[in-house]
Amino acid sequence: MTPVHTRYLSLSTSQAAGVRDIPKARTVLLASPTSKDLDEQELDAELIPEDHINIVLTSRAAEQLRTIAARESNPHAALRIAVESGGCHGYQYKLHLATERAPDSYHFTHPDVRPSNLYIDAVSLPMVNGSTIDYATELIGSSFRVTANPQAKGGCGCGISWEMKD
Amino acid sequence: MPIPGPLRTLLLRTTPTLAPIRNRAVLSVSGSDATQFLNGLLANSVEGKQSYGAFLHAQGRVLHDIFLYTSASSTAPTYLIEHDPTPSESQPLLNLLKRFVLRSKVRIRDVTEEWAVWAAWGESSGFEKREWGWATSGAVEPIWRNSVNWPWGTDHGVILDRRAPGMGRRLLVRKGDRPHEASTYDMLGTDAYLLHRIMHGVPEGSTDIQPLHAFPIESNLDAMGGLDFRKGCYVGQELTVRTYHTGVIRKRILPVVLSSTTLTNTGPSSNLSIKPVTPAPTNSNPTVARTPRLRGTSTLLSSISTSSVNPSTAVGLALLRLEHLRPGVELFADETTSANGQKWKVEHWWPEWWPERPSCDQGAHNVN
Repeated sequence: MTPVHTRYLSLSTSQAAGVRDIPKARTVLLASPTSKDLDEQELDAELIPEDHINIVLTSRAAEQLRTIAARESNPHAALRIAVESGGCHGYQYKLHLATERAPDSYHFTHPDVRPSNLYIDAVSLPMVNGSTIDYATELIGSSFRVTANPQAKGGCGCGISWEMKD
Repeated sequence: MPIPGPLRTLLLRTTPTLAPIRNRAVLSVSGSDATQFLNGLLANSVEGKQSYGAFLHAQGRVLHDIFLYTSASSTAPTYLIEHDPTPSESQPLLNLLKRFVLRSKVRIRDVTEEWAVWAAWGESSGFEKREWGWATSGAVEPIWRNSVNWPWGTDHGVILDRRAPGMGRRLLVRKGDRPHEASTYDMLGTDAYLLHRIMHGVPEGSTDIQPLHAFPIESNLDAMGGLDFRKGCYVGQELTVRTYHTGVIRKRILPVVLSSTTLTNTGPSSNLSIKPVTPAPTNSNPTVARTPRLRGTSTLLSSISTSSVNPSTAVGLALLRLEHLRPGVELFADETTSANGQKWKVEHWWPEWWPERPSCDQGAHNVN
């Protein structure tokens, strides 16, 4: 797993509006953890029924994931998204590049652009379900971002951490 | 204004005293990630030691003021969090903490049934001299750098209560057991602890530090050593640190003497509004005319009747607007609208231990 500098992976809620006009698609779910997997990992998480899961991937994020898979010569290379507690508003996203799916993770892909792998673990998915994953290109650096998260509100001045809606 | 002398002699206990502290709940937080988990949430730094602090809301209001005890445990770090579980606008602390566990290796349990909390004070420990660091905002914090030993104590379950000099110790004792001090100390009721707290100007729990309303510095958490302005991120840090550096502290919780004009044996109810009354300007006293119109109200918090000492009096804690504390302005808490209600004259005093702020010309020495 290659850690990526979080500064370039942070969410800013003001950017949420920006992804509205960008081509995007609801992802296809390729694999889910089983309750047996979660028990083995001693994780206290509830599995979400498949028809309630909704993760959207912008086309440019999917293209970037395909580029990464090609560059790594690994069709399983993926972006891993996790939610951790921390920061001055309580929660923050951790985004890493991964090379294989962990047993506790859901596996998503863009319906057309493949391979475009996205792994989200069972503890984090309920807290990002409904979000759009984007790849934003800016002069100061390009980065994957979790945007339009219906579970999140507010955020601290530095844009790293956010608060959970009640 | 210092505390009125006769009241001090009559109300302040200086002999070894033990009293139970009622209505406190205890949560156990254990696991290999427990230290890191609590350090990311508490406004004081957590480094495997006992301390005092608070959980804040993301917008900087206080949710719970707490004591953090360490516990003699087998392998993983174990902390015991003692707090006031009175239902309030805030969620119960257990639910609040559970939302942040996620994948952390942390186990949280309510162990209130196993523990009782006691306060012990009046032991001759000598006069404690303290160093203070001031911020330009008016926030002030004790500096422990010269203390050889950890200020809050290292014996599991025994906290040296450093919220104010003279507060004594706080004991977490197995329910049913008596603290060993019980044989030699005067054993008093829970009201004695409330009076002890009020006389030292120490707010505690949801009556004094109202969940989702109180700000930490206005509630004296800075002066009581419960805030770390230099640690990394924790929930509520942004507003707290901004207030420390660029804000102005306009309110403080201070002890007050309440006196009623009519005879009564009961103290006032909590949460009363305290309003300033400016005397009408007269020709003989023109300075009064220059007093600007005072806005806003202060709030009475915990109080306890002292009619055994002096009829129709009480002492309490109040969240006071500092702007209202000026010569010529009198403060009143009026509850005459309710049955048997009194009109109370409110007179504050600064606790004896409260540090004197260095004058501005010398430059407040900023401890950054």
